Amino acid sequence: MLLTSKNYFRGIWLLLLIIVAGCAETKALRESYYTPETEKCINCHSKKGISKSAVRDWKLSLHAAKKIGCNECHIPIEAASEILATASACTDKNVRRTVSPKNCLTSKCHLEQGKQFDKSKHARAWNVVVDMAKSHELTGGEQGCEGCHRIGKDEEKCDSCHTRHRFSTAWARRPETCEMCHRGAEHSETEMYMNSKHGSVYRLESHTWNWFRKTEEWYGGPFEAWSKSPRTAVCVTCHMHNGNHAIASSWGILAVPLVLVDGDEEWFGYRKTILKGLGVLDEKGKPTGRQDIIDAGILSELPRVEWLEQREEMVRICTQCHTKTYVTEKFKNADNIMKASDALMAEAVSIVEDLYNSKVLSQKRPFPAHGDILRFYEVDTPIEQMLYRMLFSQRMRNFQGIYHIVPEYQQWYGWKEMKIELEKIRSEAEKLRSEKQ
Amino acid sequence: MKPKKMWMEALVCFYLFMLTGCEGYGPYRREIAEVKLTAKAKACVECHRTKGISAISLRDWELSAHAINEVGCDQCHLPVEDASKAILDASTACDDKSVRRSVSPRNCEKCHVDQVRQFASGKHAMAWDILKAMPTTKEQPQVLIEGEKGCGGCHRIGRDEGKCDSCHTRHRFSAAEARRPEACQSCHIGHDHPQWEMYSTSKHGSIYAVEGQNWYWNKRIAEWYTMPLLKSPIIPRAPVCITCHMPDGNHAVKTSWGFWALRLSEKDGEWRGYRNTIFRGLGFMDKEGNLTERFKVFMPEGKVGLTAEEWQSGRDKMIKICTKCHAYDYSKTTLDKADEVIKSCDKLMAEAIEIVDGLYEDGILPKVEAYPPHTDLLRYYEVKHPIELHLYTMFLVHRMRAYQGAFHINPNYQQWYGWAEMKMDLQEIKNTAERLRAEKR
Repeated sequence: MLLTSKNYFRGIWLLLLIIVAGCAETKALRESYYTPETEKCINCHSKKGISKSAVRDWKLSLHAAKKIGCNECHIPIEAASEILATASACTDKNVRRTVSPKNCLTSKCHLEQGKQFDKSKHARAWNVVVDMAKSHELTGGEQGCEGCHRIGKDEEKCDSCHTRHRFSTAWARRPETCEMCHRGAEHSETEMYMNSKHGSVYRLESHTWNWFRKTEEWYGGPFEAWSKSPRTAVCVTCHMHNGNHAIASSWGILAVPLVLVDGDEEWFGYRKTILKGLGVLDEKGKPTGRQDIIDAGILSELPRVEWLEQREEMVRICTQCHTKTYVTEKFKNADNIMKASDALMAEAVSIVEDLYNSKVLSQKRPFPAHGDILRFYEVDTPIEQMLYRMLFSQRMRNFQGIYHIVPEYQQWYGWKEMKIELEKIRSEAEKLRSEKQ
Repeated sequence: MKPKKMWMEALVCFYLFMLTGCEGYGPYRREIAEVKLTAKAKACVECHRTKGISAISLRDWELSAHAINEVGCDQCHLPVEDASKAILDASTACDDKSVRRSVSPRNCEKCHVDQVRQFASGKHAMAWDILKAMPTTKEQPQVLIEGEKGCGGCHRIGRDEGKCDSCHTRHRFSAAEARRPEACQSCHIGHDHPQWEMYSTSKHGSIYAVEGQNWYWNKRIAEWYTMPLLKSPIIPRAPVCITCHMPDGNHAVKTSWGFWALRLSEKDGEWRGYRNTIFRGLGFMDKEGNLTERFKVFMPEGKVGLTAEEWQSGRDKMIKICTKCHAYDYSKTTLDKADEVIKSCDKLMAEAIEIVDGLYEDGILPKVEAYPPHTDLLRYYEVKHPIELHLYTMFLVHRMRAYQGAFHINPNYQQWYGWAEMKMDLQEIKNTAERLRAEKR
């Protein structure tokens, strides 16, 4: 009777439980990754029940395997003066909750990544918020603008992509890592990518891919029939080629570089009008005092040679799978759509500028002398709201939709919406003028 | 990794796998063996199989824990005596006239007594009554309410004293399935409460997306963090919906702020001013500052925390959950900042309500027969004047996004879909009001 199948299985469970429970937390296993300093922290944290699950995450990390414990990160090194100045809630007053990148970027550990990051657009993200805070009522701390732009705060926040306390490289390679910031209103890159053909392939096959492999090794052997190698591009394939943390692209975030592309003066003219609307160029086309914005990385002011370099680098990435003629043709088409949409945008900017010049709209803000699209939604009139939406939602979708190869975004959320918005701006301007008379 | 260590880790994982296996793989194992049927259930199964009526749902049931525990068709589909009148009085298409298609939670209660009672004290249980009490529900096509096609499709969770299958899908009624955030997705999505979008694109959600398939869903939530230091990749590393909203598996789902983020007790005088304006906009408060009957219907005592103590105890519970992973001061300040977001939003909201109310007071907006001569936010989109539609969008779409985005730690929703839109709404309401006044002159 005792050996019914039910009891038999229970017996096995029990036996395993005893064996494994004995082994699991033995000193031998613990010592393999605890240093004495770390053990002190963990003992106290588990006794007091403070953020214990974070400790477990750390145990699963490569840090633990390499004996990089709590103290290496949470005791700021001398160079991390801004973190040292903050208060500590720990009984050990050397400990800080916030980790300074200075600790991460020592020559022993991640110096190379730090140097690359400093050159990236991400490193300038925080300056943008500081600048915007002068003209905007910002709310929410890390739940608001800061939540994403913190990536450039205190120089850089590695955990924006490498989530605490596992700091996994493998997970950071996946597009879900970029998703929290790169989506929605102004920059729906995730929605675009996930709905593109690249994204479809990702969603269907990605669970079989080897994310632990370095990006530079993904496409190493082109004829290697190794199904675990990604079959499609993800965010890092194009934007962090070879794991390079210096993220940049030829167009920059707003796609208004002050460079002549393909010798096209007409197109450069449209871009200059848009830059006037952004308050970066004055009426005569001379740079205004808004250099800080350019420095902050909103606008890319790359010299032409760099613009070309970035484009050539991208073409090289694409040609790992596609032919060069196909890729060049795609970029040519994309550039043509950009020019067409810039023509619409420039017309809209000019309409609003004319309203200011003819005093139909009165200047309520000190700077600049015409509308200011960089004020975003903090404007006084519906027509300026329309202009803001046209530039920051619709033109962005049109532009990013082309380069992320998502016809739906480019056409229906981008181009079509721009056309409608321009029509609205035209008729609102007429209405304003007739009201004035 | 050293071979010895790898072996040890493999053993730990195996051990955990076995532990979880006890519950989770049970059904699959049993499926092979003959499912024991009571005489009554046997008759149902045979008839349904012969006639080919909803035969697939029988297979679902065979895979359920119900089948293992010999709970058959009759235990659920023959309503017990104290089942709701609506179910008892319903007609049946079955040959056996005592059978009902809809199942009453009174039947479920015979086994799941704690869960059913917890549910009854939570917000979900109010969902149907709230829907029926809305001032414009009668103006909707009834297929959207009684027919459960629109509003009713989600609010049914509170219908006939509760619909367990809103989360535990038929006929498997899996607890493991209901623990995953996708279980909440079909209702908590879009328009006025995009919690799914917020969560799934927050850092918590990204971790779930990447690692979630490895986690042990068959384990009870109460047991998820009982071994917090155990180095195991199958313990959930990020919270899912139930981690915070159903801690320990408690079915009485409620939060400090409630659905609309309107708390009754308020120490901050300035904020109380804004909130009272919103209360008036919702018809929860009269001009003299007295709470109305409507308030009692929509924010009933006991279901919604009305006192400062109840609010604080909800907050303390939440902080306790956060501190399983985060530091105390970090958790506290993060939630405090989210409170501040609500205050900022309420300031804009109150200003917008005053503007529209002013238009009514000065006779700029003509009185509409169907509703009171002031703002009534509870009418939602059933309003006559475009400016009121704008006010509705500001309140139910953008304010909700700003505040829920802040608590679900999703900067994009808080800032771009919430705060930025509210700012634009207010500007547009101001401009429209100005134009309306100018036209009247």
